[in-house]
Amino acid sequence: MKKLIIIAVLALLSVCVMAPQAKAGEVDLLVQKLVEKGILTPGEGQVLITETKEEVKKQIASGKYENLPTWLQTMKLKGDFRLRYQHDRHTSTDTENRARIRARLGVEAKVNDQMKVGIGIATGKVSDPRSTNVTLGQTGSKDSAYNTETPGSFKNIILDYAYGEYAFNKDITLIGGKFANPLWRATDLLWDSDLNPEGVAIKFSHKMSSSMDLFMNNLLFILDEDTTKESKYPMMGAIQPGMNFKISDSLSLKGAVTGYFFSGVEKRDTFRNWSTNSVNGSNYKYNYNSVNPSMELSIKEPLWGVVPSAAIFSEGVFNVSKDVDNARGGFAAGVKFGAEKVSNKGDWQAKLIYAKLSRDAWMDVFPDSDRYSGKTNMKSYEAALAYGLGKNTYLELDYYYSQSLSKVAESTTGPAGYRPAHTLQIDWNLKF
Amino acid sequence: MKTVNKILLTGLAVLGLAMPAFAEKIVVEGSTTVLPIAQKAAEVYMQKNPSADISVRGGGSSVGIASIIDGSCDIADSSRPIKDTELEKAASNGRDIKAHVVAMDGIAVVIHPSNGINALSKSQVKDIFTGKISNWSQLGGSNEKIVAISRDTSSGTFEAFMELVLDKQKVRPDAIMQASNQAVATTVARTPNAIGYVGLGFLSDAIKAVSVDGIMPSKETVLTGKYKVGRPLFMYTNGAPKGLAKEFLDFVKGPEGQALADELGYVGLK
Repeated sequence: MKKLIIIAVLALLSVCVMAPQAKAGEVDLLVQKLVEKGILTPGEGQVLITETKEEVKKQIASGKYENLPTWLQTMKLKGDFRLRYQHDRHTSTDTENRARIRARLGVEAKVNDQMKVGIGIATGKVSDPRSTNVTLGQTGSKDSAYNTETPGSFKNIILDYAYGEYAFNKDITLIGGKFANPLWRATDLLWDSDLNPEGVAIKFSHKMSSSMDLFMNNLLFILDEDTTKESKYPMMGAIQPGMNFKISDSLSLKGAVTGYFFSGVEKRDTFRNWSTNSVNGSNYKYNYNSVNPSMELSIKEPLWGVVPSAAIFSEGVFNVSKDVDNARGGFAAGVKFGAEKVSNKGDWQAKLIYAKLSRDAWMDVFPDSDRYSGKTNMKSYEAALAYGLGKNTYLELDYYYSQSLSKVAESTTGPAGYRPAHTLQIDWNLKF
Repeated sequence: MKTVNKILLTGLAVLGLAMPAFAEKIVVEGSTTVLPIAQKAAEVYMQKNPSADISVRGGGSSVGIASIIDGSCDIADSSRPIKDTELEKAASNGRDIKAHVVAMDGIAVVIHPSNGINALSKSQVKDIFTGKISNWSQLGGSNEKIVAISRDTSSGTFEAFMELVLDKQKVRPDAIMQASNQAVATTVARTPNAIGYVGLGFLSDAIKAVSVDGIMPSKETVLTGKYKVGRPLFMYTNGAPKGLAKEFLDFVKGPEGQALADELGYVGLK
């Protein structure tokens, strides 16, 4: 008799949790009443409530919950906003203060069990794919010693990403379109974090054991499309094998070596009307095939738990193309400590980085544009501190001191010398 | 010996040697809170069923759930519900994770037996572990700095404590993190000014449980929900369990398995 009652209760619960008007509390109340009346034991009540909630949760997560539209269950909306104060000082008289914003909004939707699509927009300038910042108050053309802007292009909404993704299985994923950089980077020496490559990528990962997994990220990046030029479709290919190794409960090591291959770049027009790479006239003088090893050693609760985590990271780059002169290497190294990720109130993270990039170690259209405007032929020191103001919001202070590696002649872009630059950024970040 | 008998004896010998090859083996991995139940149940079950081979290991709830998602274990022990992000990863891996409640557990707030405090409110426990209260004198106790002992972040006990008591606020940075319930219990037992939290099954005479909001943790108060710092303990499988995994789970959830859970200090469901 009791079994029949339990079956009836299960059936009733199934109806209750599937009905759109039912709330979790109503199911709990029902079971509580049955327990009070002695129809169910407290243990049976707990099992019924808990296992039913877990089942509903699973169905919603897999998009099978019949009472919500599938698109609502399988779509994720995300975005973020950043308000920045930036102070730049090149000489005692050449300083600039700017208020800047960045806004990003995107959606990711599951097409079926193996495919998904992502579309995102952001603030930015069409002329600068490396930056999604726009400056408040800028409306007309602006000439300064170091920056000439084109009128009418100050506050645009650009396509940040648009891609399709296909998961062959749990190890292999193919992505096509414009997407977040699939290559793992230990620092921003070579890549600006706002730069989303356009092309195709194949990502491979495999868990070898509970302490080691291997990965291999491959990218084909279409750099340009211009049928008027001899080199119509300059491209970059990258192959990045790497591994994650858990040395102990508190120590883990991640490392990779990336091989970059460029096609159609050497002797082509530079991608911008200025370049810190070596040029013949307005054409790139060299190719930029290079090797880029990188590593990060992460430590949980070092120094007897004084800080939650710390990491030492570094990467190097070496241009292996022929005929490149001595200025073909670069590296960055740094340390960070504090929270692994600043995501709650009171979390903090501090970071110190030294970076040096020779003139032709790497193409100057890719590195972090906050560091000496993303130029090569530079060295730079960075100190940053982030502090959590609450869930999904944090304040960040970032200071750079950078200068050219070689003396530069006086020009419209600045005085003669090593052109030192101080940059201070104070950011308020909000995510959803 | 007749040829037929020789053949029969040889066949039996081969079968005997091959028996281990036919023995079914399952791996149970995850929560250190559920570990004692899984280990004891496996021991008793294998005594009754010698051909069964059940390997049980800890590592934490997150480790167990990650293993069931990538297929490296058959049953995942967990002292917390599976997260939405884990369910999504399971779905993308083609895994249909099914929850089985195998016992209830209360998380007892424990102090050294020499500490005169016997009762704390939930907000006081929260203030202690988030750093707002740092001296026992603020709670009517002696003028001694509070030493907070916590579980590490991969622990389901830690996650449950964060959710049920701390309202997901961060544990004070000077808290001493321990990798298991037993380590927390041992540290509190050795540290007169310590406070920690452990599953009910780890209570002993070496440490003292305090009441929370006027309710002491016990089987009855956890099962009826009167003790608010209680939680279900799970074993997760990929889909409906089959073979040895099903038989073992039925054993754990049955009267004998639930009696073992009671003996170990957990709250059986029968």
